[in-house]
Amino acid sequence: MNVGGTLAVWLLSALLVAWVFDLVRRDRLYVGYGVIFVGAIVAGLAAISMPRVLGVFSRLWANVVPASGFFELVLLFVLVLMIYAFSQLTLVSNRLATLIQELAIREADAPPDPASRTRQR
Amino acid sequence: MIGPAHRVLVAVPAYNEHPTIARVVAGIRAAVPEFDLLIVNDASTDGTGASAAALGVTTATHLANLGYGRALQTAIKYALRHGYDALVTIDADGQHDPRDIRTVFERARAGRHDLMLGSRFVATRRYGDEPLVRRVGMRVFSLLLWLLTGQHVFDTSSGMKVIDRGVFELLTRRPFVDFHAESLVFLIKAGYSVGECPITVEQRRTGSSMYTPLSSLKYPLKVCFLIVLSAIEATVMKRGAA
Repeated sequence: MNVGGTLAVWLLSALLVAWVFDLVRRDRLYVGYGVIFVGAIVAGLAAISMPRVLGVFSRLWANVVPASGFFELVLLFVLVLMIYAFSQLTLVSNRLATLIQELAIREADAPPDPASRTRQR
Repeated sequence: MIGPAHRVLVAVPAYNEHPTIARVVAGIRAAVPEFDLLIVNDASTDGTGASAAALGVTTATHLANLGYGRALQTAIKYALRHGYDALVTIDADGQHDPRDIRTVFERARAGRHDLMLGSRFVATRRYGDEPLVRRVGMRVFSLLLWLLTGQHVFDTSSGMKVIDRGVFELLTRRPFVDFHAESLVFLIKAGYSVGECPITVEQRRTGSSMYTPLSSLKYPLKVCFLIVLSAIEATVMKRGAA
């Protein structure tokens, strides 16, 4: 990979990591997913930045799938899509948690069952 | 800050603590009879909810398990909604001595702290008999907290806290994974006062810890991630308010 390509990969990775951080900060992505995505991006960046590692992987992978720049674009698209999908999952999860909390508080506020003999504080 | 004519809620987040919940409730009622009591039952499956009902304790029951952080947040929302001046949290596993509640509460009042931690380690500054993984984790979190805030907190994962109503709304605005180190960093960076005072804690005798071997790997990564994010967010929030 030439210098321009390496810089482009680093810049793209930095943008992706910043996006993941921002999503977690705004509670739009569960922190566990954020750790996994950042870890994957950093690991990928490390592999790409080491020509020998990249060479070994490319030779192994080329036996399964022909090496192609288009393939990397598809991979990038899938990664972005996964981050978006998991952020939507987090949003739904947060809304569900808020609903469960609200129901719990309303249950605690409900008057005790008249048939019950337990005394409430 | 907590005033003299205060209404205080003691909240006990509980998940599958049927063997100890009655003893904990009895201890709290004996130690601080003038405080109100709330059990947050995090979808327990061992009869904890039924035990709480039999004890006549106000109980907020989650229909699905949400975890410790959300259970604590339910307690904070309840305290906020009902106009309490302070919230005390205590673990349901019987490790905390309910008699320490008054000590921690009075120290919080005297020091005008927004959050006061009952700390296992502040007196000795050593992590004693804790498992190695937990000792390393606690040291890392304390170090990270000190690097980001300049404040030493020795027991970042204490389950006994006194929280002033001044920070209730802030702590419900966003979820914290477990209201431990990340929430402390958030409050300190946002300009709130966090204190620490010594308490005694027994070893857990029944039930199981929420920390499993797998979580011992995932938890430090998540918390370090969150601590840094909390510091950033609190700083941005403070600058925005200024």
